[in-house]
Amino acid sequence: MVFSSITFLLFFLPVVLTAYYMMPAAGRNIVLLAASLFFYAWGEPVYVLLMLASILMNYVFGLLIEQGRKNHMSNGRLRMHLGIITALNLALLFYFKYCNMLIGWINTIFRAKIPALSLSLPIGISFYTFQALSYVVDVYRGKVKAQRSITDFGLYISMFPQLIAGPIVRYKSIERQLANHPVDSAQVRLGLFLFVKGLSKKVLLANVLGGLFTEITALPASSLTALTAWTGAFAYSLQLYFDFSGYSDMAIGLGRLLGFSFSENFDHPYTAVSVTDFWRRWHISLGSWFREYVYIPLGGNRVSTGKHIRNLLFVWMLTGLWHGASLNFILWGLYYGIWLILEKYVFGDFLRKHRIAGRIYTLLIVLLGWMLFAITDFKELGTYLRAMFGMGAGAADHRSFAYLLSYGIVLLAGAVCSTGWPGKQLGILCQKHERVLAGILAAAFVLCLASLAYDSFNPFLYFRF
Amino acid sequence: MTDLKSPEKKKRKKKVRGPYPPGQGGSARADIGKSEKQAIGRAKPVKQAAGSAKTADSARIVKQTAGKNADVRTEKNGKRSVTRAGKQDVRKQKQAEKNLPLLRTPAGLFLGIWLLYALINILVPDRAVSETEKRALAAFPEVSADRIAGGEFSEDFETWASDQLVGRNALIRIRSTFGLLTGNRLSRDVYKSGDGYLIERMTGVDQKNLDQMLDAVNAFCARTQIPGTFVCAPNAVSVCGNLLPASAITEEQGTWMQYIGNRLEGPHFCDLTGPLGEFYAKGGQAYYRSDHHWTTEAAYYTLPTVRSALGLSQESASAMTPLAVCNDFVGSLAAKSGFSASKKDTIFIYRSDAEPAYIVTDPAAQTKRATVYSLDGLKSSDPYTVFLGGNTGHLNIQTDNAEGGKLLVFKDSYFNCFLPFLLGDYREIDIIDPRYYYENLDDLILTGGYDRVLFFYDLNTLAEDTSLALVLGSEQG
Repeated sequence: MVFSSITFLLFFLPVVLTAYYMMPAAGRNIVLLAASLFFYAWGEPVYVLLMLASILMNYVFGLLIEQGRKNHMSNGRLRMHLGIITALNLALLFYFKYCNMLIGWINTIFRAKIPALSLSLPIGISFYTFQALSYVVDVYRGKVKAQRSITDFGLYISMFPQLIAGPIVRYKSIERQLANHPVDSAQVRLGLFLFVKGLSKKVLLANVLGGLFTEITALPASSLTALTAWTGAFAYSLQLYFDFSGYSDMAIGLGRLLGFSFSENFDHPYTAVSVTDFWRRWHISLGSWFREYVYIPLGGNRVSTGKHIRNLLFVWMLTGLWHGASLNFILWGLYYGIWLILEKYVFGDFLRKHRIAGRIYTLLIVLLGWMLFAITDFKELGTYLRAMFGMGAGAADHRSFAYLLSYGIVLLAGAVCSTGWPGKQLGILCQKHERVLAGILAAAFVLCLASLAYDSFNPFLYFRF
Repeated sequence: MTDLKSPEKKKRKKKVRGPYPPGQGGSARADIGKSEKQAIGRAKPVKQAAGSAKTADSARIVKQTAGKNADVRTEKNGKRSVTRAGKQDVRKQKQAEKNLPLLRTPAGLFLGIWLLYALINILVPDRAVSETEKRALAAFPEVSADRIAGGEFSEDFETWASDQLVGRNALIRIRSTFGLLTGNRLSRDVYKSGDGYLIERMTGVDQKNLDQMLDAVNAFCARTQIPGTFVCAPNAVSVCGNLLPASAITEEQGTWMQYIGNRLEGPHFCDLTGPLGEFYAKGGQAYYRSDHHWTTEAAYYTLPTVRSALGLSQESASAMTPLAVCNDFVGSLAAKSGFSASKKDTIFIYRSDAEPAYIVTDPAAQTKRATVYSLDGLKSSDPYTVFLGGNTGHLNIQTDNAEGGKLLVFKDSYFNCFLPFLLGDYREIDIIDPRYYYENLDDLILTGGYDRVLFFYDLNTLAEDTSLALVLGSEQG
């Protein structure tokens, strides 16, 4: 189930919230766990079993590792426990997400004909596997106590707000909240605001801009002018941001409605002054996960320059791979790794001194990066990039301006909303009048519902008698 | 969330000093109002301040990174110290807000209405048909273990939920209006155009399909040796192109007309772009504003062109007079796009004193009528079906004109309003709509005696059609 669906907005959430609020505090975790499993099973009726298996094995190993430490088990054996559970987690992730990619590679390289596995990717597996890993590693490191309640642990892994698209919540940050998460009026109101804000980002901006990008990528090379290609690139960059950060906002908002506070996942990334800065603002929970569990254990930057560069490239290759199982994602990760190394060792100082140049440079790098991200076929990618740089169907045509006329306002609105400015203005306004805020929330919500109805608006198209 | 707390504290302090100084409110009610405002003041600025605080934060980090031992950890430490300072104040404020009754706050009211709407949605009974969308709405999906495990149930559930949404028509109207406000005049291939026109664009012609069809037409004419005429009418998108918004993107119909004309070898090609353009230029209404069909007036205007293409003399045509049968016609494009039809149209039928007597037979349904018009169609949700009662796979018409020839027609709905003009000229007409024709064409051809075969299409339909090639091809076997 996705948040931007009628099923979620008018059936699931109202029922769950009502049940949750009516339940005394002691029973709320049970309600929430049941709701979360239902939520997941709605979209993945079979893979919910996989998630239950993941919950169970991580729960057991958490306890085993802690028990082992108490019984003065040797470090080696503790590490072996950690190794087993880490391998189990990664094996599941690998099997479902990367196996077919690998089979494809082997087939290409060795001209083999291994049939691909008929698997669909279980929704959210990348997210909940990383959450589970952060838990067992932190238990091993002694940073947190193992969770004794299977309900609470199951809830940590499967809680529906962040289950499908993050943020990746670290167990450490939520340990205490799992036991005690009272809901108060201020939290609910903040939650409502964040949820509707995220929903609007997703439905009113991301979906519309996504439509534009789909239309543009479907164009034959002969119609793809430079202006059209750039419009498409801007549209996609904004779409991706609003889609993802909208989802995070909704997740954080839902968390608030349920009494939890998750940390922010996005911080106006398109206002970044360098690529390094961009990655501090984009998908923060993923970046910090890799830093905590891969980069720093490898030695981080407290090693020789050579090793540091190796660490960076390795981490960014993994980051790329995490985003999707194909070669272009790996290249996309490495692409960022290289820019980060350059910023670290070559022109970081220049960027710090020239902030405006830094902004433009960052946007450009990110924009081009997204094209590598969006277009998985290298031939098509080449065509698209050539068109962007004027080696396609010329500079502009009627179509380019037609797109700007039709989508200019949404593109502009998207650009403005990707800065912190509208939020700030809205804040000042609503600080004085909560009624205004509620009015805006209601209007935005109605508009989102209207868009969902419109998208499903499906007149009988065989109308030509 | 921890890193957000410091700015909250700053905001709160400002507020207490600012517009609502303590003790200003006299009554308890005023006090509630005040704390409400504070409370939500918390909600919003959290977001906005978060940005600025972090920007400052990261600026500091950038500076620190420039220093010697900078590491990512610095960032964490910085945040942690900020957190501690803010914690106590926030806690106090939270205490005050906890007791606030949620539903008495505007945001709480919003939540209440939301839940209420959800409840109404569950309680209101399902509707079977949407008049606006002209289709059956989804019913509650069938429940079975297989369908649940396969995911079909949850998909159908969403379809059902959105089809049965209370206020669906209003919501769709809201959304298409919102689209217009943002400058997007296109909705599902329909442009909101000038003078109240909704105009359907021509999109991606599948050339392979088109070629297949034209080849099938050529082959059919060669095989049967029946003299052929291929009439193709352009659509509003080319004839009324001046009404399209500046943002319109569409294929050139003229190019495709030429292409079709060049590719056809057997039948004589008759492109109606000329006469229709002329009619429109003279101020005639060539197309309905909210429907994809041409008007009967326009069809009548093209009659001389079509007659000569069919080899009929102009003299034998009897004069006809228009009669309005529907004054509030709202067509399928309004339904398709969700745009409102700002002007309603009139449907005319043309009568003459010298009308022949005829019988219309539907061989499949085994029904006979004495008229080509349908009163039921006129009253239905699509009044254009007044012509021929809509679409039928095969209709046979026999007239009392014993001298006339025998005509075989393959057509789409543009022909439906044109047919009455030809009734007086033929003794028998067989009308095939390939999209709904499931019989064997051979049997029909074998009845023999066809003097002419007429293909009568509008370009948009023709470009998307796949059924004509199939029906014509069936004879080969």
